[in-house]
Amino acid sequence: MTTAPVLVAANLVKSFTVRGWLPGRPGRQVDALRGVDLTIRRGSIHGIIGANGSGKSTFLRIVATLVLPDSGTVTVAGHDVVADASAVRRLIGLSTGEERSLYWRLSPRQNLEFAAALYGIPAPASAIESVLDLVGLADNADRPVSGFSQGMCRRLGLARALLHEPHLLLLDEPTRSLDPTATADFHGVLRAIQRERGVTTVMSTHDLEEAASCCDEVSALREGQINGQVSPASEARPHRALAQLV
Amino acid sequence: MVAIASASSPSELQPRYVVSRRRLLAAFVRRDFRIERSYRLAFLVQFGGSFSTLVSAGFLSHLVPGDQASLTRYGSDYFTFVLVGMAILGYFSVALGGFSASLQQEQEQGTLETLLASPTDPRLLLLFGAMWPFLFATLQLVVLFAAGGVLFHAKIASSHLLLAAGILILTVTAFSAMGLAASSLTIITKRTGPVISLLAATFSLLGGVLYPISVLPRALQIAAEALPMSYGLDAIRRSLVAHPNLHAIGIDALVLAIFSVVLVPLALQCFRWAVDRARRNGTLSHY
Repeated sequence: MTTAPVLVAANLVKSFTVRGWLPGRPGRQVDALRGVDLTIRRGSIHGIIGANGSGKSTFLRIVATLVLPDSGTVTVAGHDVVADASAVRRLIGLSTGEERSLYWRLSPRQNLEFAAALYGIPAPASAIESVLDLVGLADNADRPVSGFSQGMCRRLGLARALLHEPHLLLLDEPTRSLDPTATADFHGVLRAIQRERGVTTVMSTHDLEEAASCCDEVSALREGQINGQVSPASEARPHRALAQLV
Repeated sequence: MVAIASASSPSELQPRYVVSRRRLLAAFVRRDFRIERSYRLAFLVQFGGSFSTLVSAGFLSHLVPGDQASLTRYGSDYFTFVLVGMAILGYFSVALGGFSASLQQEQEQGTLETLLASPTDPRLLLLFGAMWPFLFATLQLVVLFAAGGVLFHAKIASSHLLLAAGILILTVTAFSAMGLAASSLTIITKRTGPVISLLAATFSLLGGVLYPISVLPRALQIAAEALPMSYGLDAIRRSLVAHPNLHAIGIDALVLAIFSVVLVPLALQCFRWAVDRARRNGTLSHY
């Protein structure tokens, strides 16, 4: 497995202004990221852990080009997320972890056909079959998504994110509100993706158990800064090591 | 044309595909048709609205004699005048509100972020997202004109239908600029329904839907002349009579072309600016 970095963040800063309803009133500033430095090696599953409001989602959305940083840089395979956003979007796959982000009246196959057009995938039928098979939805490919469980929706979101064969997969709390069986299934799919496709995955979670069991490396975000990094496999008690960082 | 990026690129981590606009447009129309069709009752009831428009035009025409001076240039038939006005108004409503409605739907169902995280230009996402409503409005227009001719003997000359269609496309393009600008507001303020309703009511009042703008007081006529809708409706009506005044239609078409060339790029630029602002503020996914 090569160790070349696929994602490099340097001194990343982002704050938001929360305005009041009345015009002219001063807004309140919230510092979401306060100088984040992070390097993620290719082919790994990298967890970002932290409490609610620690900046996990903001970090992922900056990498996904959905939020612009105030200062600092992020590059994906050498492409800057601000200056070269269009190239970055072709290299990443994003799943927001919300079942809401799918077209519920359509089937998985129809959702994926639409996504294929967004990414310009030529002759997408085989790519669709392949990702449906990978996430275990091949038997339900033509049922409306509205009848799916949360776990199935998450797996479909993952299939959509993988359809254009991204180099970097961004998952924002992908197992939130899933039961233990669905979570274990999801982790199994992530490992299969890593093994079979060599995709780098960055996933945010506030579940330390999940981070310790599923990730090769874990970075802890605390109040908008990286508070430490742990490789669970090299720790005798990874859960405890992570708990000390959050 | 779909192309695979150069394999001789210095890095092996290079983008693979190029988005095809033709395939993308087809994908949007197919997606929206499938979603609309899945709501069977609503899909069918939408045609009921067209029938109501037709009957309203029929009743209104009983009240207004056709031999009025202001109707002469349009063929002296009030039913045809009001039918064309109301049918085209439905089309304009899509041009004004269709883009925002599509965008707001993506925001509310949580799909906007995944769309914007794709390599497709956000302006194409906006334009193609409203294509199905335009196609459906076209279908309604054809049904309305055909039913108006068969049931109420509307005097629609078929000799210059292509000219009328061309003027309609030009008018809708010019009018869409306002709809595109409204979408920028949707990105920033999240809800623009009341603004669009107010605009639609104003255009309905001043645009010459139920009466020619020549019957308005002079001050309102001046306001009406600033709207692309007035020129569009005038030209479409003129082109649906047996012997159209091509010179007058040409002048209307020129004005509409100027509106289109100036306003549409401006509105698309506004949308791009609005998306960038929402990315800066972190509010893209808010609704």
